[in-house]
Amino acid sequence: MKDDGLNRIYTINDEIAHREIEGQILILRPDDNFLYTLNGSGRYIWLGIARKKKLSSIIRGVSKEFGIPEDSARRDVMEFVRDLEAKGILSEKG
Amino acid sequence: MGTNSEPLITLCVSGFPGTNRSLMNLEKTTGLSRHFVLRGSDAKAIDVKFYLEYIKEGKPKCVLFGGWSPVYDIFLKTLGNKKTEFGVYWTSSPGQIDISEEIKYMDFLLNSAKVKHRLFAHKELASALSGCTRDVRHLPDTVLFPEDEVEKKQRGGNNGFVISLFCSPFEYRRKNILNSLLALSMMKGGYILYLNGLSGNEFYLDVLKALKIRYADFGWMSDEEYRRVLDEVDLGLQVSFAETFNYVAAEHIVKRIPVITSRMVPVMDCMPGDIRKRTVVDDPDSACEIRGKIEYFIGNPSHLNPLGARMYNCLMRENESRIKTASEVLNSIIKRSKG
Repeated sequence: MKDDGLNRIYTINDEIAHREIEGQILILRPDDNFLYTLNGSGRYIWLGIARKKKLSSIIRGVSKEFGIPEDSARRDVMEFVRDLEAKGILSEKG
Repeated sequence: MGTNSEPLITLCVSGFPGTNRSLMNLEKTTGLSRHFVLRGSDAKAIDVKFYLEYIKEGKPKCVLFGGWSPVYDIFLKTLGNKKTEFGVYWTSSPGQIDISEEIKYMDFLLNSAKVKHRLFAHKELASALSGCTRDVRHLPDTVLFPEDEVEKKQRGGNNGFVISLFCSPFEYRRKNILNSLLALSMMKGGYILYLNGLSGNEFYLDVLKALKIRYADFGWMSDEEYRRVLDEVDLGLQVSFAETFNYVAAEHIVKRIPVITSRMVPVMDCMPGDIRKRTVVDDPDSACEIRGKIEYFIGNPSHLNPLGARMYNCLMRENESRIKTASEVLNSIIKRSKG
């Protein structure tokens, strides 16, 4: 069976400092001098990951919450996860 | 929220690019501090709230502020009763303090009971103040030499002679811009001037046009873009009226690019006499003297690479001693702080 990645669960790496303040997610990497900020759909995806939800569940949620087709939501979520994984912020749960 | 246990945190508002560079470099060269950049000077901003919580949670032994900005008050007030001590790292020279009208901030720094550690990048300023104020120390600037950057470009080659004149928009007076432009206008061409935003100032734009200076303005650049643009530069101009170190000059030298400076640029203090003779201007208020130094290199482009390599080696040796001193100072703060 083809692995489309939708059953994966991602976790926030231990060394990442993060907090939600005034509806925005602020993220600090251990080797960075600047904060990342997430809002809108980024914040929604982040909260789903923090709650250890499967990507499929997050995608359905994004589609419903922001009124976009599931295909678009899937692209957005996968791109978001890949980007944060490349930056060392997220890892796939083993 | 993630883990944090750094004993020494440094914080600086983004409006002080030189101080931020200094603190980022200290983080990497000594490995003893962790540096964060505040986005602005609004005490209610979300990044300020984030760092307040981060510091409360991590309980560092000391927080050092870069320069002085009123936004730091909220940290003193909110965290003042905790075990964390506070300090200020002041990177301006005495001349810079007067020219840039920073005296009221330095006055606060010297008189605030909440500031325990007073660190100065300018050695003589630290030395003078240590006779009359407690807890004053010299914390030297350090330079980050990238391990993987070995620049072999032949400078002054076929692509035209590129001269840089880079500085923050807040520093035009101190950086002696007009004399540098006048010096270039007295030459017969054969160069292009690289800028990082000067032409955005309407008055300097008029001067550039009136003096018929050929230039390319890249605006304010990201670190990555800045490094890429620096690779195209053959000669730097930093003929300042007052400096504590001059990171722009140091960043050119790290790329093995010769820089023409004034006597007031301390990064050149480690250079031997023959290098200083070619690169250091005695009178920064003399456009003719600056022109003479530039013309030498345009007329002798084959001297650029060997000179740049020697300047690189001198700065690297000087930097080792600076890192040693900086590490001793930061270690003693960590040990002395009660947190």
